[in-house]
Amino acid sequence: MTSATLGKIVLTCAVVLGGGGFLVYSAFGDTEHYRMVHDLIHDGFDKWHDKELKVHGNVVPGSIIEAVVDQETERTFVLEREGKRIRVFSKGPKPDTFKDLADVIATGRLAPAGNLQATADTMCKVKPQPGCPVRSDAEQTMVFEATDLTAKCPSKYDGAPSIKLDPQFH
Amino acid sequence: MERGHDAMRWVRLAGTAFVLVVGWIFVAWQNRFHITAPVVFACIAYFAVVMVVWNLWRTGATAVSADQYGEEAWVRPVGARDMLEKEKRTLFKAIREAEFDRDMGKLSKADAAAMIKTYKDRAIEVIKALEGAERTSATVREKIEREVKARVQVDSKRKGAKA
Amino acid sequence: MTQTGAVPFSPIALVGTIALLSAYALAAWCAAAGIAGNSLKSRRFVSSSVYGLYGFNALISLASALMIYAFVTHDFAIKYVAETSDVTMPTSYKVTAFWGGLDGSLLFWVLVLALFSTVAIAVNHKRHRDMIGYVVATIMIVQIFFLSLLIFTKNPFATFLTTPPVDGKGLNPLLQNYWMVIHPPSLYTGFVAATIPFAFAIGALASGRLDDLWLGSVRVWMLICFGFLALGLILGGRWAYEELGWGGYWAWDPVENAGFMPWFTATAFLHSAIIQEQRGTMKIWNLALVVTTFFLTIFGTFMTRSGAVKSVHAFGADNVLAMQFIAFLGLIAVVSIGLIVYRANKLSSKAKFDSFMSREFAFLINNWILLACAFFVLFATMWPTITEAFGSREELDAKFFNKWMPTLGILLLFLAGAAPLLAWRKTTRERLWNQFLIPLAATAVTVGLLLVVFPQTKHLSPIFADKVKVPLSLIVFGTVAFCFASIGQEFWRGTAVRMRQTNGDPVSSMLALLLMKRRKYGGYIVHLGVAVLFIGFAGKAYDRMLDRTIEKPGVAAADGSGASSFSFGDYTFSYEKLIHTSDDHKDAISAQVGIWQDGDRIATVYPAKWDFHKAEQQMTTEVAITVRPAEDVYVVLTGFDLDQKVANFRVYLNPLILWVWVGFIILAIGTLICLIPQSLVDMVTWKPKSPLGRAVDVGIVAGIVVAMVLGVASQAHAGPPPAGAEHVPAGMGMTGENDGWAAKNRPENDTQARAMNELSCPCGCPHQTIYDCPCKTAADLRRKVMDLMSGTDLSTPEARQKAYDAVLAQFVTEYGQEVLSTPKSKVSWLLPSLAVVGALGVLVGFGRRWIVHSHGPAAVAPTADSGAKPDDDDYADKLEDELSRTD
Repeated sequence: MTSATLGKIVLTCAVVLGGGGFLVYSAFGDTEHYRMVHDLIHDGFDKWHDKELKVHGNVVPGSIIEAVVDQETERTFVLEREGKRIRVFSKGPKPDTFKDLADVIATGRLAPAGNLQATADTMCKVKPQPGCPVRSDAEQTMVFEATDLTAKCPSKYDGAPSIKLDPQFH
Repeated sequence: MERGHDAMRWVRLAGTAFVLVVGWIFVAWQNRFHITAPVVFACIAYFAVVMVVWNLWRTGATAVSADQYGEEAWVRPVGARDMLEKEKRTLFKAIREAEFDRDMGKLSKADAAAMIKTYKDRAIEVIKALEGAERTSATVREKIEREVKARVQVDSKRKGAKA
Repeated sequence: MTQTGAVPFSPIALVGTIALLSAYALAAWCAAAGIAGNSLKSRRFVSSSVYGLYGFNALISLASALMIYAFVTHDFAIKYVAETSDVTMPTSYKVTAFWGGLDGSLLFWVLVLALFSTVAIAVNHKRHRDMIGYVVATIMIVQIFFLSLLIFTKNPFATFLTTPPVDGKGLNPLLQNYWMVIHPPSLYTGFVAATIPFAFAIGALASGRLDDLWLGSVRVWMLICFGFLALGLILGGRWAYEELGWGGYWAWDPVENAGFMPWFTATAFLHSAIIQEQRGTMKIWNLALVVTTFFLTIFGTFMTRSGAVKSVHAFGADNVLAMQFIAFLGLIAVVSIGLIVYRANKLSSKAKFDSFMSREFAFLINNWILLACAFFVLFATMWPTITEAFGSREELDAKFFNKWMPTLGILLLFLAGAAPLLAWRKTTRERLWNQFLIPLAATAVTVGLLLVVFPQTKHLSPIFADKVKVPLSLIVFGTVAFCFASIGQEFWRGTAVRMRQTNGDPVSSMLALLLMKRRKYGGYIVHLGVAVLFIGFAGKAYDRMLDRTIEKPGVAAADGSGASSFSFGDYTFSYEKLIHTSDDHKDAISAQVGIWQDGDRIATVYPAKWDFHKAEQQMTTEVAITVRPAEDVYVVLTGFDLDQKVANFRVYLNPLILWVWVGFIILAIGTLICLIPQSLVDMVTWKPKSPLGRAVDVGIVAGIVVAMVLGVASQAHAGPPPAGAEHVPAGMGMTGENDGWAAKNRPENDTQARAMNELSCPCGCPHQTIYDCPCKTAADLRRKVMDLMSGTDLSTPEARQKAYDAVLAQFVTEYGQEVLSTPKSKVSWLLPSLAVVGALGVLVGFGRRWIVHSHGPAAVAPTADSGAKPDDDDYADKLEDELSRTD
């Protein structure tokens, strides 16, 4: 093997490994971190406060407060798993199956509770409802500001005996 | 293939087609000639049945038939000749491409000429080698025919050039 | 026929199962006979295996026809039929329910492979007779794998052991959509088409016939695979865009990725195969690409079906299935790699690149990037599974893909423009400038203009990492301009060369160029299509989304303003009505929304939610899309309260999305041009032209150009259907009362039913006859049919036909010809497709008239420097003579 060939092989390996390594590195940085509510509380807010998170829990019955403010639907509710809780704020559409006890995954970031107290007050002012007033800042230091809610409804195919939706179908 | 084989083949094909059409007419008649989705798919299914029988028969019959003809001619060994023919075709294509690239302005005239020259030199070698291979294998008659043809060709070309 | 006894018995199921079992046995025979035939050089075994493959095709076609027959005759004793269809479904969906579930889709897969392999073998078995046995055996072993899944775990003909249900469960509402009718088959077809090249590659390796002959057959099938995968992916995107309601068409979902990975490797192969043809190198590489493409199709299927990767498309883990797939994948890998290593000495070729400025080097880089794309997608799709093995499961979302893939895509797009400018072997350096000047100038002008006219193109997007930001879409537009200019220049200069060679007129010369070098120039058209696609992709950076909750519907002022209105972008939206309708299948809740732009009302749309009775919990979102020249206005009803009439809307403004569909159509046309078979072009003859003939030619050319343009334009129009039209619920405006219209005025006899089936429903239900349509109008019209027939003699077939004809004639007189159900929509689909296909056909058919063999003096290369030795003169002449017959 000539040294030129060897050089080419070394160069190719270096490019492939370097690219692959950077890919893995960036994948780790980019992962959406998925936490159950109790894991999140257990980890402590400091660990996650500046990262994109998916938080999974059940909606505490009676905790949903919703109001339309300037043509925008605002809502807040409490997610619970294994006795640990966190308050969630979100805007816009919600899943069809979103209701008390629903299994919900909220995607978003942690935010200081004080920042969203005003939102909670507006909601209660626009539409007084059971559960008002909300004192989010008194509950915990942080609340969760969700950009997206997904209801993890029991899969529609779990009930069906043997036929599954063909995955090629989306 | 022999004529007898061909005739039998046509008889079999006609028989199959007859069975097919009769079956289709029967299915349609059963449904009072209303062409609905079930009738269409029943007809397709019947067609498939006929094809199954026909092809299974062929599968079995061929497998047990004696190997009668052309066994050695049928499988071609990969010879040096094939490789040379292939190389010649590749070279011709390369020459044409180079000419086109030159005309498109991607190659300078000098570069194109140099490139084409190397291809042509190699192509001449290949043609020579091919002829050599042919000479050793061809019959005398074939050789004469080829010689005459080549001379006529060269002759007519020269005349064309003069004119 | 099935409800006769307590124990269900279905003769269809019995025959179907027997057909599948026979096919299994036959496949085993074919595989054995094929291998034996070629390895022992026994002609009869090879022939037997070929006929066996035809028989296999017939058996699988039989099973499939029976399956569909069971669907259209409501044979609910068969579980699969009961679970994916019901009595009220329109016939078209009953037929497509065949591939609507996992079991049936496996049978469909086997069917498509059987049909394809029959065509491939029938076309090639004479040409490749010393490897065809191996090819048949490879195909059959793949079939055996899928058949064993089918027979032993997912038999679609399985029957109920107890009393069967009276009615079925119905097809998943999300799948009752016209895109869904064509999307899965095309994706499957793409997957299946990858099997054929693989089989030929294995055949070539096993027989040792590694000359380039197999490459020609393989390239065509790879192109078919490429085309159908692209079609499947784009249709899937279109379906997601219309049916899922999240405003986009591509989300890097594992199922989509599974179709994307083999597309990358197939594309890579299509390029590197040209290098092998032109230079005789890269043999191992090409074989590896064929094998990889096939491997990825099976791997993709494994990934999405066995639960190895979780997708939004719910389907659980299935360990048995996973193990079967892993074993099969292992077999593929071992056999292919083993054979390549075994034949390595025959495959080795000196891969020598003369220059970096050569077309083959550009192709090589293109191959590397495409492979990088395939493996990146594979890696990222598998990431959750990989991390799960090391502890915690980590998900990657679309954002991650979007940071990496655009960069790779832009590099590919640049190469798509640059490679055509380079010559084979090497490009003369002084000439580079001459080649790149116009494209680079086009890029500079485009970027400059965009910066001045649309400053928002400066928008920065992250690549690779969050902190690295570049004006991605500006770069895309620049590269697209580069690509357009370079391909345009290629066509321009190529035509000029052709004109000089043949003294032809520009149009004839260009068409001749396109036909004679159709793989090259067809490929350029594919490149153009990809560039147009990228315009659509770039629009993604500018899409905007807005959520609004409107508490009361209301009447807007003339300019659209009002309490129930909101503005977004250049548009004003006014919520006018909430409409609740229901029919036999579903409840439909639609909001009527008016859209204004610059004070003018431009559209009224009806975004809706449908609640299918048979699929509670699962409301489908019916999006309303208004196509404007620059962007799509996409309105979704995200929530509602029927009592309070509150409605939630989500509006997306998606700029440039139209170009995604248009780009794909251009790509499809390019692919079709590449696929024009040599035999058609071989009819080419040279004819001297009379002025009259020339005039006729010009007429034909003009006709073809017009037809192509019309075809493309109408396809582009057919792509996005008129907003609202499809979504206007049946019986719009009639609330409450219209439950159960479908059950009213049912036909009393076959003749009435037949007439009803021939009359299309005027109330807006797409593609439905008054027999099927659940609206009130249909019920009234049915009454009318029954009234017209009452008292008529229906005792003999002739009398029945007469009564039937009379009813139809009456309807035609009253409502016009269009009541007859040859649904208009079908024609409108057919027409553009026919226009495109027809135009290509005419292009080929008449192409011979313009194509002039390069006998002309200009084409003959200067001979001064060839044939250096005098005794080589004869050979030099001979060379020129043979060369003149080469194109």
